[in-house]
Amino acid sequence: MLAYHRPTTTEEALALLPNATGTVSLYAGGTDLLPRWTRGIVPWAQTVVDLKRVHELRGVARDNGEICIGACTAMSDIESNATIREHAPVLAEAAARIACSQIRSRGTIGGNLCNASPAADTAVPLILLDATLELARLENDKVERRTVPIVEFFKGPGSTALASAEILTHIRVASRPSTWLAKWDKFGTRPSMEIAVASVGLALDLSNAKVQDVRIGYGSVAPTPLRGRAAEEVLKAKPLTEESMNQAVDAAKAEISPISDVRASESYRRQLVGVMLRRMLERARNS
Amino acid sequence: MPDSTIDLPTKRAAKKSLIGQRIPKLDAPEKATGLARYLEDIKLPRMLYGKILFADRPHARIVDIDTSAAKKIRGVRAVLTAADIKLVPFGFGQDNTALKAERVTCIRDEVAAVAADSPEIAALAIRRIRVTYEDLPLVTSPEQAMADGAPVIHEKTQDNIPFRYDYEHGDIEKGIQESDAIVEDTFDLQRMAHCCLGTSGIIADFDAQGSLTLHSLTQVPFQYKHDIAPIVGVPPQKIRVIQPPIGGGFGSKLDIHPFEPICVFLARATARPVRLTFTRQEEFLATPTRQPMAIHMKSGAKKDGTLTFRDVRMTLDNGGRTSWGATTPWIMMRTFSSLYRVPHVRQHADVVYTNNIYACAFRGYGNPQATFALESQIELLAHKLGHDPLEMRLKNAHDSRETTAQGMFLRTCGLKECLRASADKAGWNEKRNPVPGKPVASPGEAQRVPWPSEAPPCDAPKSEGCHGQAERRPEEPTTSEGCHGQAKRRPEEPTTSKGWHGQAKRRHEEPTTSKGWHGQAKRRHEEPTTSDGWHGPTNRLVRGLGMASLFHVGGGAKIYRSDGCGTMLQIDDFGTVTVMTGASEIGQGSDAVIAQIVAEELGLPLKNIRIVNNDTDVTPWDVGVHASRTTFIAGNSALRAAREARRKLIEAAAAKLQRKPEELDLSDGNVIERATGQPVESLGKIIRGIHFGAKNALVMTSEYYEPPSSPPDKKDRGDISGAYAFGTHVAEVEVDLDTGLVKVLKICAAHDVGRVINQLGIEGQIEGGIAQGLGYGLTEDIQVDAGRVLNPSFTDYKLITTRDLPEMEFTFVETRDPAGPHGAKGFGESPLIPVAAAVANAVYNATGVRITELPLTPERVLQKLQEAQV
Ligand SMILES: Cc1cc2nc3c(=O)[nH]c(=O)nc-3n(C[C@H](O)[C@H](O)[C@H](O)COP(=O)(O)OP(=O)(O)OC[C@H]3O[C@@H](n4cnc5c(N)ncnc54)[C@H](O)[C@@H]3O)c2cc1C
Repeated sequence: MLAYHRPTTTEEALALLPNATGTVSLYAGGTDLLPRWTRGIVPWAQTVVDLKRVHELRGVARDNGEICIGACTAMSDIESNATIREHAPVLAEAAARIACSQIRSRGTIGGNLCNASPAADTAVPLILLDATLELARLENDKVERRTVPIVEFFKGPGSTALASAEILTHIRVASRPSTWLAKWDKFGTRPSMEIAVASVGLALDLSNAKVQDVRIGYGSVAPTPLRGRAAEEVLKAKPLTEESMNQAVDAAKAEISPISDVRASESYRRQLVGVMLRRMLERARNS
Repeated sequence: MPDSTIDLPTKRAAKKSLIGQRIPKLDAPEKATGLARYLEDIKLPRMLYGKILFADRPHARIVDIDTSAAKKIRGVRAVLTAADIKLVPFGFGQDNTALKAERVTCIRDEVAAVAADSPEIAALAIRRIRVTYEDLPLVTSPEQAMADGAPVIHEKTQDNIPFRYDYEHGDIEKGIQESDAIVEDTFDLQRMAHCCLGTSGIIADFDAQGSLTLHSLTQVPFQYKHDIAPIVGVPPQKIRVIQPPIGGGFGSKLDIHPFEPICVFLARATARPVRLTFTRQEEFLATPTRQPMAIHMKSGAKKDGTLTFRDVRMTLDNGGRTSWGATTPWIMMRTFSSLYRVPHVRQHADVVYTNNIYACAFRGYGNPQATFALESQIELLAHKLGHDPLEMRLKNAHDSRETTAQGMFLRTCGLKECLRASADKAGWNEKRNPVPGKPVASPGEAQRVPWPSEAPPCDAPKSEGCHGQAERRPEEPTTSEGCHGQAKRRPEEPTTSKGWHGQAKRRHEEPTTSKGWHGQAKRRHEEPTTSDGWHGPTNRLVRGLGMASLFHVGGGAKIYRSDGCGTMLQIDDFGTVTVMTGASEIGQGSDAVIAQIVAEELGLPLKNIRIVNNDTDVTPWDVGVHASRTTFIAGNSALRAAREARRKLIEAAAAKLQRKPEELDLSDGNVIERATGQPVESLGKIIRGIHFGAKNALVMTSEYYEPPSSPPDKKDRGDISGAYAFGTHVAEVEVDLDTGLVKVLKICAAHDVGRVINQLGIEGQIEGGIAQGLGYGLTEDIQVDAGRVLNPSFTDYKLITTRDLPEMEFTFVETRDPAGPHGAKGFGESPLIPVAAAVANAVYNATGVRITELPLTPERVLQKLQEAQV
């Protein structure tokens, strides 16, 4: 490492990026970056721009019926934040299931998303919540902001819609009616500290005896966290029946594209997604 | 009381005894505060940093090594290849050299090494070394290695089988004829990594006279000195081994590993001290593992449950080189022959070269593997014959004072007590399914909780409002909440989450009657805080109970001509005792045990005892810390040295006070009157009287203790240990039939430990053993493909964490072995040995499906359930 910067504003951070020496890395909690650097999986960045002191990027706020989460908010803050626990509990639940408390108090939600692992645990809950991501870059010395829906943010393992010299600043989710239920779950190879072998999220509103506003999401079973549009389609505007649940499970298994790796085989991942979705649907129906 | 109990004389019953107390490890404050100076904390003046280039090719000829670019880097002080050193073969198979000259036979083979001013420069230099290889045909499995025309891995072993082990007693054919039921299976066992918290390392430091000091993490300092001498060309009398605090051994430090002589060569080449330590990734790649093996076993029993025969053929994947681990069949045969009475036993083992990473000793020394196979088959035989597996085990268990068919004399044997105690504690009769796979009752009496579950499992502040609030139905378990975000809990509820389904909380009731001779300890653990949201509805979760026992050496193992340990003891003028013991401390707690034994004997408080155990220039000889031998052998040695000091002190006091020695005793730093317990003189005065009085002597004693064991004969029979340890674990599991997830709910462990010396230490050993055993049974697996390790990090090598531990309950069966110090037996390896077998038996009891491979990952379990159409 040749240079380490610790800006306090987004603008300052962005201004550092084009002029930096050698390879640059934005640095939030470092819980994805450091293990990769120290294991020699990627070379250390020559310039590190630490975002943790950028005030704008931290904390959770209510904004016009939306929840606005700063990209550098630590997982432990997401997990314990009263607003999130009240209005987007599924996100708090996922944050609480990440790693251990040490990692959660350093690792950030923005880092989790920008790292773009198919196994990022906050991605699927944010898919259920239709999150939009706010990105900022510098154009003619002015901070330019754009928004990207979460499903368009992930491009592949480790790859996102972020342009070079662009920063993720905020994550926005809308409040939902109290009848809208959301659940996310992951399955690992050990009860604690697990990295998802597969994760599934389901959200729906059954208050009119029909499935409304349904969202399904999958993690670790495709190159990116994935929204389950085919399974959603099967369920939409129908009562939750044995038949529709079976069809949704079949659709889910068909629309994912898991791989076999050191954690699990492709076929096991498919089965897991089926079992997890099926159980969630059954519980939704029985509730 | 069982007839096995041999009472010790109650000569000093009145005195408060230290034996059996809960004593923290002596170095606990240093370790807990971070003040302990581990190898990585030691920085000698002018010290350089070493690093190794590993082959990263499983089988190849070395064509050329170009070190010129590495040598040009500023700060690089030496770059060595095999061409630069004298190559002396070493290792148990004499098939290893520090650096490899012509051929690499596994990815971890050491090819070159660097010493530099900083670890970063050393790492850079390693990256600049260019090696040209010519790949050779790869041998990835023992089957392939033993096939006709297989590539030869080491020229001197044309058949790729460097070692074979045979054992036999009785007549297998006769056993087969006598059997009413016979089972036959092949058990496939994986590689397991030691995962010592402290990674490997060494500092090599020459002085001006060419004497070599090694700051080494070895478990066997004296043997080490002897063995490393010829490799590095330094006579053993010029080698001093100092062991800094060692962050775990578990058998991994029994061998000389190539990095150790390499570091010496770097120190010699640079004439500076060199420290070489491994990163965690290097630790995973370049240190040996537990032996992977296939055990083919056939065994039989009569209608009445009497075991008739056991016929075992095993193939061990030795990897590309040989370590001490190649001798594990020598211990495994003892379990096959002597865990239970079996009249006809035969074992044949082939240890086979492959191009995989190699294996070494690991806690249990093959015994967890042997026990897994054997105890699985006991369960199968019991099922076939319609016996309760507990009764069947009891029927075939040895008694005290029996000599096993392999010639091991069991002065004490508490196996039957262990079987009964663990079964009682676990609720064997109530909870076990009489027929495997036919659950008597579904788990979680309560209904599983419907949508949704509860607040995130965290100790975060509870939120106020909530949406989607559902009324809690009266019959719902109290551990789950009916709405988002809400965390309304009754005061008595644990703060941990139970996920989607409120699992009925089970707590084991204290038994109302407790047998007097059982030491007893209990552990309760909170459920892990992770939620188990994927867990299925009640009818897809099944529970079962399974048991497994163990047999292991508990008084050393006579593999060398001596299995002894020396102690030197000195008392200063102030009553401080320095105990210099040959016994190495690798975290197992020998320091506290030895201090307790000495303090007890001399009637001194523990704080007066200092243990010196880490410097071969000071401490007397010992075989090393292995074979669960230290409490027994070093304990006996310390006990005798202390007894001799005690005799000297009491005689001096008797002379001074004009009393008979029998009338006096030592307690609390005083000489006391035995009859009344009244102090009559301070010990300090007696000691100073000896020192400065007429005799002008110091109170110093020494002892070399040799256990009452003998080396095995040519047929491998004989009483190789001073005592033998037994134990039984019962596991209760819950299996999810849709995902294959095995959740261990509880382990009840009963161990014949002879006698508890340090209760805190022994509980720690059991907890650690259970955690390691569960890792072996459920999650740990070094995956190797085409000779390469796929998961060399904790991300994908899954240890069991504290939060994954089940509820545990311990029973100590105190048989008071007449040869043990205060009746104690060795115990270090025992608690790991039966865990995986007990868990697999519980899975069998729950599902009716016998899984003969480890670990029991959800994917593997689901696959087997599906094959069996459960
Ligand atoms: C032991 C351990 C266990 C773990 N367990 C889990 C788990 O269970 N589930 C899970 O999902 N993850 C897990 N992780 C991964 C990691 O902790 C999370 O992904 C975490 O949220 C990453 O956040 P960070 O702030 O540490 O990211 P960093 O490491 O700082 O950054 C990650 C990447 O994002 C980029 N980045 C960060 N912030 C921004 C920004 N604002 N704008 C643009 N780019 C940015 C960085 O340049 C980098 O490329 C684990 C990690 C460890 C070490």
